[in-house]
Amino acid sequence: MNCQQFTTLIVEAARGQMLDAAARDGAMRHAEICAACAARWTQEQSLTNALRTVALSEKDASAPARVEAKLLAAFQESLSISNAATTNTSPVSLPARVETRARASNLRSRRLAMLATAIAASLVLIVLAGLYEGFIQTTPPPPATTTNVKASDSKELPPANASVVPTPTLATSGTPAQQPQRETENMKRRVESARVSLKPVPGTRPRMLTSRQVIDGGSAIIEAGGGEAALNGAGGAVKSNEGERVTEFISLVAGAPAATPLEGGQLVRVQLPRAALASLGLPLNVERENESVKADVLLGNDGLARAIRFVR
Amino acid sequence: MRASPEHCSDEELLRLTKAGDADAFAALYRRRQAGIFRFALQMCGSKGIAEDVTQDVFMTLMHESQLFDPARGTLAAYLYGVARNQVLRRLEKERHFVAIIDEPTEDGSGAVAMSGQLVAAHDPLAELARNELIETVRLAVLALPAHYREVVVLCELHELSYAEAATVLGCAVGTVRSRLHRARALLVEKLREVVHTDAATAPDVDPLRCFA
Repeated sequence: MNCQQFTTLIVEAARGQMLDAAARDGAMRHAEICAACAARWTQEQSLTNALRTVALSEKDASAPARVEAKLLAAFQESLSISNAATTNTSPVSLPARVETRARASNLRSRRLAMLATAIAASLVLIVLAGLYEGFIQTTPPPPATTTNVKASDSKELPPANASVVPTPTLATSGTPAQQPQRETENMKRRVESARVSLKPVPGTRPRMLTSRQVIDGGSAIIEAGGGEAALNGAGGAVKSNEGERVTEFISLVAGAPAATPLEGGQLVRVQLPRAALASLGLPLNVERENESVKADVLLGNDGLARAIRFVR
Repeated sequence: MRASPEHCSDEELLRLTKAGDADAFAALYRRRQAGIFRFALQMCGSKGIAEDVTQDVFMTLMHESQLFDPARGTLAAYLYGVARNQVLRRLEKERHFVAIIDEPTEDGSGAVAMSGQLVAAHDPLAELARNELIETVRLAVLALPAHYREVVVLCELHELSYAEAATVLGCAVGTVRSRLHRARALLVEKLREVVHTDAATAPDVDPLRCFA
């Protein structure tokens, strides 16, 4: 055995864990003839003894009794919580320090939930900003007067299965009184031709509306220039197939983007502060300004918001 | 009629704990808390931290006992593993606040000291007084890098086998062995004058040059 072989064995030998008696004897014989390895052997033995002395001195060390008391209290509390959860959803308070520790494990998931909420709020704000900007660039506020138009009376409206490429540009001519009606008819055409697929917003019931259901031809009464009046229960709102009352779509585009035919898109349900009605030029009940209002935003395949309608 | 908790295995106590048996949880705690507390104390050197770690380990067992997989090792090894993670997390947090500075010895021999206590300056025999030896070795262990310290604590102070320590540390047995060898060499270096009881007879020879 040489010094390198001795070095590989010395730790186990000093710790008394070597099982191979022949190897141990060989190591001892080497230590007898090699002074350096003998010294190393002595050092390792001394270190082992020192470490065992330390281990022995601390063998009675243990956690204070208060730790056990806290843990047992926490265990009992967790039991009572789990029992209460089956019968009652009221929260049960834990001892202060234990409660902190128990809640610490949930902190990460709460932070994730808060982050998700913040992201969702940011997305809504972005959509709102886009809508507002688009509106500023397009049309002045529609007149407050409403015009009841029966969808079946619209002569220009093609049949549902007609392959008509709509011209989504907004009407820019005509008298102010005729303008809302033309916008309504243009939007009907766009929506008619669009195969709208609804993506349910989290928290809302998923539903699939066809373009026919959106405008609900038949005898549904469409209220042009909807807004607050329609939301407040005016008889002109369109009824959806789930008991919701919706206004007519209000166009959000004009000019070049609107020239693109709307061949498909998505209808996204959002929730807006009621003050958004005013930003769209719609009448607003200031007493309910702080409330929120649901709206469906029609997004084209290019991602641009084309129209919005309000839902009650 | 089931056996008293003191006679149940760890796994059986854990099963009873999951079922809501407070006595089983208490028995399991009393059986394992001392080892966990000592491990944390020897890793951190602070009783306060060791107390917190012990509490956190059993809180984890209480709330996340489903994470224990008997196929991967014993419950004791699992608890040591949880304690190790807690200790390392705390050490990482306090790394910026507690600096362990190795200072070279005055004679420039290469031995390092922690707070001037690890190397006997004048009277080695006096340093070998039991209490001082214990404190010196304890500080030397604390001065080791964490990955060496944990193998020393587990294998030397807690007398776990290489395989058990490997389970706790989540590494190979060979890794434990090599780390222990290296850690002991560092300890010998740090405690050279303390543990070298036969220094006068040891020649100053580089062992690697001896091929006898």
